[in-house]
Amino acid sequence: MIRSLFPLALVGVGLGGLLGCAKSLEPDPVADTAASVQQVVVDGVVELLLDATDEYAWVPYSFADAAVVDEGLEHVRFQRYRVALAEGTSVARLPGADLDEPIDLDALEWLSDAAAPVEDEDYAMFEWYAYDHASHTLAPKDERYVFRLSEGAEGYVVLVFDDYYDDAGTPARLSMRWTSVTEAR
Amino acid sequence: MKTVFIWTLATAGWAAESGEVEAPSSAEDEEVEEIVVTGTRSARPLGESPVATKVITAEDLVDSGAEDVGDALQMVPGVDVQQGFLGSTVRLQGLDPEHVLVLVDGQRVTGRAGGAIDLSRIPVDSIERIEIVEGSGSALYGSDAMGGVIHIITRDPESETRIYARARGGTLSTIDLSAGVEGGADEVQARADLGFHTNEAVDRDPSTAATTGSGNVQGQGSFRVDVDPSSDVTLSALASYSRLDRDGVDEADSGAVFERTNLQEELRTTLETRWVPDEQTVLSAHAGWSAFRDQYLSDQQGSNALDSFADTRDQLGQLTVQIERFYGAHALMMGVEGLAEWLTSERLAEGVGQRQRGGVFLQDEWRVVDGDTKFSLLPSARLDGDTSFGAVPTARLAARFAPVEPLALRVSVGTGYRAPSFREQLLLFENPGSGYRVDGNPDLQPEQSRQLNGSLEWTPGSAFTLLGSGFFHDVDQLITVTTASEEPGLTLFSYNNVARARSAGGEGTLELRPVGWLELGGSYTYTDARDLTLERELEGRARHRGTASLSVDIDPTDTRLTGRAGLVGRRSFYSDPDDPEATVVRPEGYAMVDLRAEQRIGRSFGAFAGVDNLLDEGDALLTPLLPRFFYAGLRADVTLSRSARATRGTP
Repeated sequence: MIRSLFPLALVGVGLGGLLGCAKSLEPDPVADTAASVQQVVVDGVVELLLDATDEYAWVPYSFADAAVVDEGLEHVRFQRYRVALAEGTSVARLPGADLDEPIDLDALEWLSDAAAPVEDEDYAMFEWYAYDHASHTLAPKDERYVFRLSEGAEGYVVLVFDDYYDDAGTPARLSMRWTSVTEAR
Repeated sequence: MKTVFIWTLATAGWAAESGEVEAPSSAEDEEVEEIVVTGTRSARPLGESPVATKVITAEDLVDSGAEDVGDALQMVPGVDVQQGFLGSTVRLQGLDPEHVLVLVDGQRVTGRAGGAIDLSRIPVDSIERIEIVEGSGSALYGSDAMGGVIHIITRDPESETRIYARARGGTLSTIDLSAGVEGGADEVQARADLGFHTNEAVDRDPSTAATTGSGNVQGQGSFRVDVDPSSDVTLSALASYSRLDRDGVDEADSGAVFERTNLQEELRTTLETRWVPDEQTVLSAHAGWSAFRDQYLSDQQGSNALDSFADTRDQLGQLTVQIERFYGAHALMMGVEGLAEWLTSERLAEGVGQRQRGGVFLQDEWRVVDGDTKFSLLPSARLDGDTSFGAVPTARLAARFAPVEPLALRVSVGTGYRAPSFREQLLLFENPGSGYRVDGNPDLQPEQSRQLNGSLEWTPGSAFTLLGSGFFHDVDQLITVTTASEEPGLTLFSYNNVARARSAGGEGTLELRPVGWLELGGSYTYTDARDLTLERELEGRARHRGTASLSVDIDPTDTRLTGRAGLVGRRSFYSDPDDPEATVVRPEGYAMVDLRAEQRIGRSFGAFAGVDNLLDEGDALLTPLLPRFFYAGLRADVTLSRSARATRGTP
């Protein structure tokens, strides 16, 4: 009997050797390789990709410097789908996401954020997107936004959003284009 | 077959004392009646069990060409198997996979994904039979058995030395290899099995980057030793290990593409003993421990912002002791069961969860009338106490009435429950790529159900079986995903006991064997499963389903031809899971047709070939079936030596 069980015992020992031999799939920690800001200027239009994926931190942006700046120096701030206006900045929302459309600055209605915004509705840029409840995806509305900077002292810019997602499909990596608005526009 | 052995001893004692039934008198008699254990937690002849039980035998498994339990269940009347990128899951009587308890040799299978056990990770090679008991089994088994119990019973090793192997190749780069050896002496028998499976990923919609079905590489092995130290005691020890590498490509609505790698390991050990101290008593004890590890890596293409990795480890310890004692026309059974479960995962709010549950169960099988007319009653009750949600009582009353020999009526009424899963209680998981986050709810209570099942079986002879049955389930405190808050790009979901559902339906099955070489079968199942909270049909259930089968034995050439079809009617799918106004999509029904031919070559060898899903049904979104699949293979089963004990055979 012992002889007949010996091959089976060998198989059993071999089976035991299998336990816990699987590799770990855990990847080595790698910093996010995607750039947090990408910006190029083409024919006076700034093409900007901004990483606003952090759930808590706002990304301050200055149109005057055409750059992400230290907190307090910005004209607008971005955090995921939220866009907040700095003090002195106001916005007018116009139909049509076309930067070349003429703008009559005198005819615009200027909006500002609530004094201490808490709810999404407190932001003047509330719902610059259309939200698909079924797929939980955002898409920019067919709108353009004219920003009045420092009550007009620093001029005006017009901005359109191209996408809420980057080419890899990462949300809150905002693609937008903006350019200065002159009185002639 | 120790199950038969134990049943013989015990029932002989029951018969001798009551003087109402005749005990089997020889080995041949033992093989006449198929034995089932799931409906009553004790061995009973299939035809006499007060609880209706469907059985897939080892022969059925061979005929079906099934490689795993998910495959094997696909053509069983009333069993609703769903295929998806994470494997195969099953619904019973319109209730979800999380309401179906899956056991292997009496031990709970651990490692639920999305609440469901993936049945495709359980190969059929060492299975003796699969028992399916529909309707609530909570009064005997506790949590999860609201819709029913699927009990996978592995083959006892025999003392004859035997080597068996099977090889199969097919489209989709499929390779299946399995081999085993068993043998021993009168007191000790052992069996070892090894298996390997691989297939490539399936893409049913090339216009997207996502794959439909995953590529799989699976290996498993098991080793079992049975010891019979005396004629009235059996001991059995089993260890098994399986490993499944699964890969595929996912695409989020945002356009993000992910390479998904999933590595699952399962280790299961059991120790079981049965003791028959006298002809009226059966004592059994089962100790089991299983560990399931699931590593899940989702690697975003073109970025690593949305990369995610989860290492989930689930451990379950189970100890069951039960005693069955026969008093006259009564078979009394009582038992205690303890369960301890641990789950560790980065996706749990505190990284680790643990809970313990203890249960005590009682049952009395009372043969009220046992002459030409038979009537038996089976009251059973169980009380579970859980460290996370307290006590849950459940009960069932089943009855079998056979006014004349070929006719049997079975009825059962009872309650069931499902404990909230660790994930539902403790999950903390964010998927920004798909724009949602899920928070568990530690205050969840168990789901509760009330059910009624009835069946009428008419078996005038071996050539004809007609079965009609009906069911009704009323489920409340259903745990469902609810929207806790919704902000654009990140919807917060949680779980709550807020939903109610009802499932009702009926089934008719006809089996014909007009001549020895021909078997015909057909079934129709009607299921009306409704979400009473949202007032709509439950998602994914077909109101109308059916099966058809045909087997032909060609004696001169020793060839067996088998054809099976599964018919599934229209199902409802919703664009939003918790919006009563959601858009409804109802895809066309479909038919799964499988054909298979097996040629026996001498006593020990065989060759087979077949095609699954002949009509190439399925799509990438709502019906992710494997596409048309051709295969061929060889099998061998060689007995090297025989012993006197080995004559008992396998039913």
